[in-house]
Order: sequence, then C-alpha cells, then structure tokens
Amino acid sequence: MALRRGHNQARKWFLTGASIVIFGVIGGCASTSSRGSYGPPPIPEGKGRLWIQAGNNLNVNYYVIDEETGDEVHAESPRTSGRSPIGYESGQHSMSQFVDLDPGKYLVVVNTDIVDTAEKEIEVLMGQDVHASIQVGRFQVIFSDSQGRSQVPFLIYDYNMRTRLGEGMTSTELRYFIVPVGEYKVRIENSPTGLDEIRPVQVSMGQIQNILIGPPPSPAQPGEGGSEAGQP
Amino acid sequence: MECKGRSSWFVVLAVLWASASWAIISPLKATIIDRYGNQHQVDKFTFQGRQDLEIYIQDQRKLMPLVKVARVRFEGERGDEEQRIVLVLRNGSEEKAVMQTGSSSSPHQDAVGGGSSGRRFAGVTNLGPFSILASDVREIVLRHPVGELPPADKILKASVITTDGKRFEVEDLLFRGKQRLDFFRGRKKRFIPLAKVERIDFQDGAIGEEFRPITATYWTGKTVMGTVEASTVRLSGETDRSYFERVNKAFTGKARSGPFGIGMHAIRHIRFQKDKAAVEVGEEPTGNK
Repeated sequence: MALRRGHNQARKWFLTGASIVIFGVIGGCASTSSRGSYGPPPIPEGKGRLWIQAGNNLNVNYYVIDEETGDEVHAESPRTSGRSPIGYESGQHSMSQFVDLDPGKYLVVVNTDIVDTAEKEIEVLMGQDVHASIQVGRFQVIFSDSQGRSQVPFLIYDYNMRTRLGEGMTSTELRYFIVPVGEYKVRIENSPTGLDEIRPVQVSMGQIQNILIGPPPSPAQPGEGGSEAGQP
Repeated sequence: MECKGRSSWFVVLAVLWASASWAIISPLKATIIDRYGNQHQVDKFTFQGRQDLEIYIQDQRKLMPLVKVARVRFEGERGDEEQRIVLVLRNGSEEKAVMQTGSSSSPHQDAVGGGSSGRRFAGVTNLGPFSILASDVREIVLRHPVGELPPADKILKASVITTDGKRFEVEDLLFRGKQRLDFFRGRKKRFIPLAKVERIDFQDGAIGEEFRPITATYWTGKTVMGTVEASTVRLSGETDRSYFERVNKAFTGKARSGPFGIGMHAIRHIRFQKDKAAVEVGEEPTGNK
C-alpha cells in the first residue's frame, strides 16, 4: 500500500516537473520572439524595404514621396532642430532607419541642419531591400570658456561666406549637425567678449569633424593651486 | 541537373543584388579632360559624392544638378581658390559661373576619420576607381543616354503683390535660387514646387514673430498650409551682405525694369501665370499629402 502511494506521489512529481519544463520552454520561446529578437523583422507580404544609409547617421529626419502621386507616404523626424537648445545625441538607435513600402518609385528627402536637403530617387521592388545612400556627413562644434563647455549660437555659411545656410546651437552634451557633404564655414560671434571665430568645416560621408573653439577646459590654470605652483 | 539548379540560383542572386544595389550608384557618365590634355572615361560620375555642382551665378548660390549639364569648362588656373566656369546646359543655353575648386587638397586638421575628400570628381574607369581634384580639371563632357530628354526647365512668371499693395510682374521667379518654397508644417520642413502652384497667400504673423502663415493653392485645387521664415532680426555673426540677401532677396527674378528681389516679410500674394504645358500634362503636387 505504502509502495503504491509512493509510486503515485513520484508520478505526480514527474508530471508537475514535466509540465513546468514544457511551460518554461514555450514561455522562453515566446519571450525570445516577442522582445529579444535581433535584426529587422521580415518584409511584409507585397512590400519592399527601403533602408536609409546616411553615412553612419542612424537618426535622420526624412520623408518619402511617391513619385507617381506626389504624396508623402512616410516621414520620420526623430531629431530636434539644430537651433534647439535641448538637442543632443542619444544612443537609442542601433540600426539604420527603414520603412516598408509598396513597390514603386520614390523620392527620399533628408532634411539637414541647413537649408539644403539631400535627396535620392529610388525604386522599391517587392520583397527586396533597397539601400538609399544619402550623401550627408556630420560635424560638431565644441565651445568652451573658463567654466567649461557652454551653449552658444553659431551660423553655418557656405565656404565663400556668401550665403548663410543655417544656424545651430552648441551643446554641453554630444551633439552633431548633419549637412550634405561639402565644405562650409562656421562662425561664432559674441560682441560683448570680442569673440569672432570663423572655422572651415569639411564634411565627408562617414567622417566627423570636431571644431574646438575656446580654451580647452582644464582643472587648474598655471599659477593657480597654491604657492608651490607659483613662478620662481 | 544539380549544376543547372545551382546556376539558376546564382542568376537569381545576381538579379537580386543588382536590383537592390542600383539605387546607390550614380548613373552619370562623363569624359574628364585634365590640364595635361588626358582624357578619362568615367562611369558613376559624382562631384564630392554628389550629383550636383555648387556654383555662383551673379553671386547667387545655386546647386546645379549634373543631369542638366552637357559640359563644364574651367577657365581658371590650377592654384586658384575659385575658378570661372562655363556651363553648357543640355537645353543649349550657356551659363557663366564661379565655382570653388582649390580650397582643400587635404583634409582639415580637425577632421576625424582620416582620408581626404576635398573638391574632387570621382567615378569608375576601366582600370578601377578614379578621382581627380577639381583644380586639375580643364573640361568635363557629360555623356547622357542617347534619346533621353533633359529635365524640363520651366520659367515661372508670376505677379507679386506686396504688403504695400504694389504689384510686380516677375519672370523666372525663384525662392533662394530654387524653384521650391521651403516651409514648415509644425516643426517638419517640407517644400512646395513653385511650378505646380497657382497662388500663395501670406498671412500676417503676430508682431515680433519670425514666421508667417501661408496657404498655397495648387493648380489641381489642393491647398497646403504652413509657415515660412520671415524674420528681419539680424543674427549674431551675420554679415551685412548675407543679412541683406536673407531679408530682402527671399524671392528673386527679373522684372521689366531689371533684377527683382523681395523679402518674405513684404509679400502679400504671389499669383503664378498658367503654364499651358504643365496643366495639360495634369501634374500632381509633390511633397504634400
């Protein structure tokens, strides 16, 4: 009798364990497919996928126009304006931007931080990936004064300084400005302090130019920090 | 049998690769003649990776698409920072312009990422990748597909009515050198192709505001609303010239009495004259929903 009861108990334990294992496996699979998947999802039926390849910029403001109808079929604007004082780079995006579209011809327009846009005509084919290579690059303006990095407005000119193309605001955080590849000039003028800096900017696809304006922030100036550091 | 199956897979993959990658390739072909007289037959022709030239026509900056250009002749010397160029367009007209050619033969000291770009033409020859500094080029002849028509250039005629009630008949109306009006829909920047618009009405913005609301009516009857930048405030670092141009030459063109320019803050209406060809074709508006 006792042997039979023990047998039943062992059977119950076995069934409980097996059900836990089965649910665990199913649950594990479910969680992997829902939030742990890597890479882009499959292309939906009847559509093609357009990838925005903007020179290592994973985050650009762009929109897509259907060339047949002239309608805007898709738009993304994840970036704040270059003039905004609250803009900075975030590392949220780990993958290039993409959109699934019906097959057809489209115009991809990428808004930059100046008046010029970067555009590309592409054809999306069913079930296929199309990469729109957008010729834009990035630069950063780092302005620092005696207190360290600070926010100041600046202007972006063409290389000849003939035409003002845009304006921006430096940041205490990491911040890039996206412009079509080419050569520009950046000007920071601050009349009260007498500061007037004009720097050339050479923007190439995939490169970043850092423009440092002002003294680099240092923990202690020469002559400071006690009598031992004084002049002989 | 197996071999045949494999080869068909290769064909399919090749077709897929070709169709997926064509979008990143410039279709332009050109013959580049350097200052020594050497000719280079170049495919996938680009300038600084782009398919347009940044030029100045009568001191007005303009981006000239290479698809419109038949040939470019450089008339300056190699060491010139900027050169006079003569552009022969595909529609037969000729433009004299100025172009930056020699400003950067090496990357700037602050550039991160290495390599050099400079102002150079690039492409592919039979021998492999090809690039040449713009300062080393004497002439470029673009080879467009035989029978392909050049992009149509429309000369826009319009009546511009100012806030003072004055009316100007203007030909070849452009917004900052382009046939597009940049506007904002919220904080999103979009454009209105001027060739497809019947009229644009500018409303008054509040005093001190830098934007003016506009309503554009297309020839198809569709309307688009948004705002345009109409600031007259001078920015720190702005030169006299760029300030003057920004404030007083948003729209430019040719009036009967000579060159015409007007600032965005001073316009009340723009009424475009009907372009019969465009209306007959029944073109739809672009860039708007």
